[in-house]
Amino acid sequence: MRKIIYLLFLFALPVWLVAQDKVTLSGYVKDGGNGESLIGANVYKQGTTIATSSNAYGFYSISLPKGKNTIVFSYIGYSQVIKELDLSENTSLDMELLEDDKTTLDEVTISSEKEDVNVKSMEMSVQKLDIKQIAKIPALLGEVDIVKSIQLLPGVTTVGEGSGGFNVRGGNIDGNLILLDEAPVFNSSHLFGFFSVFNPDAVKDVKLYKGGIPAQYGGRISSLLDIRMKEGNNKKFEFNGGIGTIFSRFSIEGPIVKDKASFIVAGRRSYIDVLTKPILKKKVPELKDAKFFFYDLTGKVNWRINRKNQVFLSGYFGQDVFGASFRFDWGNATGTARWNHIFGEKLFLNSTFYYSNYNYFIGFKNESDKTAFDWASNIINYSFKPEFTYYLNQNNTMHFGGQVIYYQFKPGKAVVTNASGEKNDFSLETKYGLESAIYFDNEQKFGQRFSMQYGLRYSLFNYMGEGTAYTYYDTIPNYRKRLKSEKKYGAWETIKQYGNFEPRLSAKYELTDASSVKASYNRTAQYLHLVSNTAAATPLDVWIPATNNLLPQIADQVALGYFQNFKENMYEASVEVYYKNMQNQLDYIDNSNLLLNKYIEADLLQGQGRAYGFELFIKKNKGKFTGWISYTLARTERKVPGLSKGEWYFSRYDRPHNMNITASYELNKRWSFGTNFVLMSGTPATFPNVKYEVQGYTVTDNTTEKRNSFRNTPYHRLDISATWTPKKNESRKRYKSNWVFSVYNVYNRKNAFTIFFRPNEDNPTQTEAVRYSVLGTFVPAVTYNFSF
Amino acid sequence: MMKTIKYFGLLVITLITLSSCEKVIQVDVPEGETLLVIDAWVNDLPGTQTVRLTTTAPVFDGNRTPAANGAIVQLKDLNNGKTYSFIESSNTGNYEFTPSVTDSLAVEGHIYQLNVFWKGNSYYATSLLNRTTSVDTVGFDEYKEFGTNEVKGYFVWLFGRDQAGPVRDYYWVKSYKNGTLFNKPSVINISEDAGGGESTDGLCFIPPTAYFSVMTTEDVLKENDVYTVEVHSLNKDSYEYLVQLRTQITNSQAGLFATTPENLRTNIKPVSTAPRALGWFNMAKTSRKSFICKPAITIESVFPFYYCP
Repeated sequence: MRKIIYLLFLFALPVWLVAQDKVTLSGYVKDGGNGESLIGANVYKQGTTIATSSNAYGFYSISLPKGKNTIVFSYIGYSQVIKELDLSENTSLDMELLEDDKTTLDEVTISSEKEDVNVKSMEMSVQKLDIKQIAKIPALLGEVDIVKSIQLLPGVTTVGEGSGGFNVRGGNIDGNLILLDEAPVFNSSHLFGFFSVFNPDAVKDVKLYKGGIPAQYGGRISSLLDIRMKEGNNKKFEFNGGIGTIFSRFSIEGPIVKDKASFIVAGRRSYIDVLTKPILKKKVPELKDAKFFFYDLTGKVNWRINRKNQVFLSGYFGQDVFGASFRFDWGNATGTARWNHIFGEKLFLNSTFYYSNYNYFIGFKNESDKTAFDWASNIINYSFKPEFTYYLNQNNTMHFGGQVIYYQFKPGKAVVTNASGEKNDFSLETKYGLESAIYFDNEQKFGQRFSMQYGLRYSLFNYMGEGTAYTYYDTIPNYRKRLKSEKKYGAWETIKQYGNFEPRLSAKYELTDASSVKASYNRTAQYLHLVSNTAAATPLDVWIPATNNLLPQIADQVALGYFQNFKENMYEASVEVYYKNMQNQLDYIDNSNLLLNKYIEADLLQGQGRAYGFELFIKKNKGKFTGWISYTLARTERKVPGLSKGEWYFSRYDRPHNMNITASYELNKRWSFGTNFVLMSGTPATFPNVKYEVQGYTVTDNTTEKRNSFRNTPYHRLDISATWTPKKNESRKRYKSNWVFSVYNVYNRKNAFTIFFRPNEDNPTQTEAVRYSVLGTFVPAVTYNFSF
Repeated sequence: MMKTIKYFGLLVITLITLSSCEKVIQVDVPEGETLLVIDAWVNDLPGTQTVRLTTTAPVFDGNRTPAANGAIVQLKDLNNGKTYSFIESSNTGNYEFTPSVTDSLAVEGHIYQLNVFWKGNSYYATSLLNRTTSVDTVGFDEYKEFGTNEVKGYFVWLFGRDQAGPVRDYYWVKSYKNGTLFNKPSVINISEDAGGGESTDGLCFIPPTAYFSVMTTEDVLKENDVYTVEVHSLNKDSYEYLVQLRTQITNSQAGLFATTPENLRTNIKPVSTAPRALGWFNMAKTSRKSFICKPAITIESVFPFYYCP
């Protein structure tokens, strides 16, 4: 511990050795139309390599020589601003950029040289999606969906339609850190996995890190999905909404104090229940009170106190509700409070406090005999993280800070009420955890072409009381472990502690102005496990911490990439290869009991995972015709003692080939079109090869005892969409609207989600193989969007 | 009640999956090994006890699996050393033994060993015989189809009590209508204590043991049908085996949330170089009772008189 502190001091030493012939220019880059801060806008001295980019809050700081400087501010899709500045002292300058189409006539292209982030940025294995770009992709039932769009990128797969979550570079779904305004979202799905919980009207920026994760982030091993919400228009009121086939959504944003404080509130609700109610009422009177809907509400307020201080409050609340004589609800709630402070001109602080709660509830009540069953589960966490960015000089930008997270895992509060009114409590103990981390990293330029970002994160996890810790006897792997002893611990008393050093390293070498090679290595540690042994994760899956019996997950990843832009950044391309090793991956003994089982650890196995692959990505950024092609060749395997004869087997989400083509075409001001084609290998499966009889039931067996040695048929699908923007009504100038017509799964492909075996209904001794498709048809939809 | 849930469940699933669909398809599966299967569930009910020996068959074979003939099957009480020989009944693969009045074939707390010798290979399995309980009485519950008032038949609520502590009890509750076993996979009615494990120790059966797992809507009773219920005792391993078996044969209904397919465990152990064998051996203490279906005996009419703290 002490070593790290020394280390930090050592790194921080250059802070006091600042050269005096330089001045610092700092400030915020914003959208001039609505006052939203622009993330990743470029700020550079013309004709030099002196450059920086704005951070997640739009802040930039750049060291410049004293005297005359020509500074360029640029951002993709916005007209650049060139400023002549005569600097004699540290200066602050906020810059507002305007969108291309707001400042220029059609057909005029603005030359903005700096749109070469792909090549010039330190980042690799990172994919940034603009919300406008996401909106062009045809979506299921016309609902613009962030998580679904991510699945079109190289290195990202899912087990199929309707499955919650996504798999990044062979990682399990629990390895994705999904941050909504810095607060983690534990379940990103509505309606199992058909829609994601993020309201596109409230989202500004989406960034996925598949590798090369900076030291600032930790806690999950596979990826980081960083979602930033809009701050709300601080210039004028704006209303956005849409009426879709499944949802309706509406948002309001506007200034509270012009240019100082603004807010946004956005809500969505599904209305299948409203539509089906009359039918239910007539056909099934018992179900007239049936509830069946999901909704979410997102809100944010920001207040710029002065140039040095800005505060943000943001929150999300979403819930899925199903119920009749039973109830089945789940949802997330997050709240984030942030304070940005600038010390001097070079040191930026963001302090975040967040609260996140994922809950589900199952209730069942029988009115006639008064029996009831209630089951509630939560994972709650509170966190504080101060994060500093120090813009030391032209060649060094440092990030350092820390984080503390307090977890409460409530795996199940379950009560059964029987006919005579007595209650049986099946509740499991709450588990507690405290995760803390400190980190430091530096982004350093060595000359014109070479730069590195190197850092270290140290994370420490305490599995602690109040609670009972169990120890188990060792046994043959794949058999339930027998209880050896149990011991009670008091509140805050440490049961087990784990600590991990997590080195992070990225390097970039620019071969030419339009091409570069990048390499990265990172180690990540994760102290949580999602317990799920079903084909697709369910909302009922339980999260548990690393315990005295369960080791934390650790991943090491190396990646190497080549990046090139063509035709003045009209096209960008990248090729990456990666290898990832994952330790302590969770698996389950045969016939495991994962529900409401206080001895659940006795049923869990831990094994090794490995994944490697090749990713190709070509994207066309400009022109009437835009889009991308992505192709991934990859392998994901596991080796778990006791399973599949202890040999390597394919993970459930192993898809060797994965290709996506996404394109959109703007025909004219009225019409634009989008299309999307997906082709990937089927997921692996275990098929039985013999059948036999037990007590009159026909059962099956795979005599090779190998897991996932078969494969489901390949997955492919084509989606199309057309957007029609009606002529503006002269009397209502501010009112804008469009109609989106979409067809998902155009050629009606019945993709296999699973192939399972069952006894034939008429002749139970005959076993048959059945292909189960989640989506058995094409899905047309119409959505009407408006804003004023 | 059950129908409400089922209907709503279907509705939700239909809406959720929009249009999920299932299709029987052809799959190429290389042929697996042929293994011996021992299906040995012996109990203390009067009459002939049977151990069935078969072999595995290719998974898509349409016939019943072949019998394993010519084996030697012996059951041994490891506590008192008594041995019972099961003799094959005319090449059927059914090996039978009929206890005489003086035989105490199944003694609570005794450990039994099954020995099988077949085609030059030996196998054995052991099973602990546990105590059982009984169903004291039943109540009949009208079943109407949705939107109708016509009584289609009667479900049964089982009133019975789990044996109180100190160990967990495991039961397999089998139901018969006029002598025919309800054998749908969804009504493999197994129970740990009163249906909820440790926290229901010594209590009356709770659903699903008491109600939902007894029969399906297709098999409801009619007035004057004879309803017979047996409670077979299980040991922990046998209980878990049946959980696994039930999961496998009902898993297909779970769609999106089907669990990873796995081979059923077996407690049949090959001796020395014998190949793997499949199946299960359990010794059970069993109670049996029959009731005539009378609509007047409703759950509510039984309940006030049935003291069940």
